[in-house]
Amino acid sequence: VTAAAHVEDGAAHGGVAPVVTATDRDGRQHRVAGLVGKSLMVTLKYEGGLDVAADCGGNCFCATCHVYVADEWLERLPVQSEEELELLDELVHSTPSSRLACQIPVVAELDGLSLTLAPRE
Amino acid sequence: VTTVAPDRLDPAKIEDIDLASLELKQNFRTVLPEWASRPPFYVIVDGAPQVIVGRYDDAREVFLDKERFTNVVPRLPGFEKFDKFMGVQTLAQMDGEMHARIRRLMNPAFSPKSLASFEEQFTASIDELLDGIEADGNEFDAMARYASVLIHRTLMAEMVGLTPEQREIFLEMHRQIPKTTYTKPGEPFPPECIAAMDAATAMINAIIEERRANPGHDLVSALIQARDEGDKLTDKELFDQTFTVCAAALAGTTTGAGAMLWGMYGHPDQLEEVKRDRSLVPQAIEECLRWAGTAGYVTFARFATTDFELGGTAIYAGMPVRISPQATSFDATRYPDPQRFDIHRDPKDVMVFGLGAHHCIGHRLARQTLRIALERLFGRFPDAHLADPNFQPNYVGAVGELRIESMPMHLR
Repeated sequence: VTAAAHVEDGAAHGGVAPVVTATDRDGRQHRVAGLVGKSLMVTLKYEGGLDVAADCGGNCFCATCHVYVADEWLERLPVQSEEELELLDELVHSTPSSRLACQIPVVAELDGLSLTLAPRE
Repeated sequence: VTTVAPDRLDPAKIEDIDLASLELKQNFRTVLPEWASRPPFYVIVDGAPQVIVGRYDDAREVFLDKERFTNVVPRLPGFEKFDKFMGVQTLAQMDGEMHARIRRLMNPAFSPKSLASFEEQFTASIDELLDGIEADGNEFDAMARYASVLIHRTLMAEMVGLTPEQREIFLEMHRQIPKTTYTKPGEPFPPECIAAMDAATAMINAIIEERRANPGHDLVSALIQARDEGDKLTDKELFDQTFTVCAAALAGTTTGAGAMLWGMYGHPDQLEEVKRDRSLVPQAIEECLRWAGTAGYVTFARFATTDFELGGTAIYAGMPVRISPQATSFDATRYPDPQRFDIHRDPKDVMVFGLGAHHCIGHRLARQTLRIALERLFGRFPDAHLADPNFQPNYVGAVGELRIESMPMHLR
């Protein structure tokens, strides 16, 4: 587990920072402090410095912030919009665990969330 | 909103730069690193100021801020020049719900699943280009015979399904379009531009009618289907987006493929590494896209919606703001030692396809086309090389574009 410094940085943004564990494409785990009020994509990309393209900047147009969420968390996340489902359906590597990180707002209750970055495509 | 008078601006931040000059194009490698290291500045174009943004972080702010910037051209005197395609409303010139609706309808055609279904067709079609080059002997112009025609094959022939005759009508329009970017305010577009545009319009309309009657596995049929399922795309929108996709793809992939070939064949040692280990191809292409001038030195304008400061520079409502994506690729705070070409750099978040809501819908198609083109060229002709090992490109194209004019190569 790396990036403990991110956790401290995140706490400095105020409030209780939920800590997310993200596994990158090389199998390395990173603990990242979520930025409450921003999207999970912003947390992973800008707070965690992870390789998430997020080309469309969080507009739910590009599907380049695709992640696999741990099974036990799937039902605890907000339901997918029609737009998100359409985009996931057009990916080669989507699975029932797939979500677009830009569509998940970070709230304190996400503490302990575990996810894996999907392959770039 | 009115046009901003130059005397409102800090004179120290006004630069005497002609964005349309060939000298600027030719010297981008020395000029743009300077843009990448300074706050946004002003240039006066036809008497009205524009803002140029070259630093990576400033550009990201412009790309991502939907409140303070719009892509919709304000109706101000002299701003007709921003209407590049003579009345066609492109996705790049829309914002908000209208943009989101059309983007959503078009997304499936450019998705990973859709593009994967075209992989074999694209490869076969690009192979035909190489067959033609080989049949004509050892020497060839890699721009005319390969870089500038790749997208004719992948997008226009395979995805849109245009016949050679139909492609030629579109190419004629493409040849004329750069002239519109040099047209001064108040001047009419040159008659040959209008004629070429009319011919392309008639051709696309005919195709739409034909595909409506006989739908197939192609982009236009997919867009028609999207329309007819929910009355979502109007005929005008259908036309405009078919047109936009073809025009944008032509320009973008010509410069992109030229840049890729120049990046790789201009660095034979690194090309050898890529040939030995094909898993390096995607990151090598990203480095070509970053280093070799693909992105152009200025984009289409965005327009400020209010008065504010960006990176310490005052911007006023209505001002055109133009990001220099290629300058951001030379920003040393983002890409250390930016002039060095290094396929192992694996650069992330290169702004060659933009960023934010208007990030290029065809970025996956472009990257797929470039990948197949590079792999087929060095796979079939492992000894292919630049005719002159000391080759230096000459740059042409529309205002903002960095298109290599020609690139003599040998197959063997």
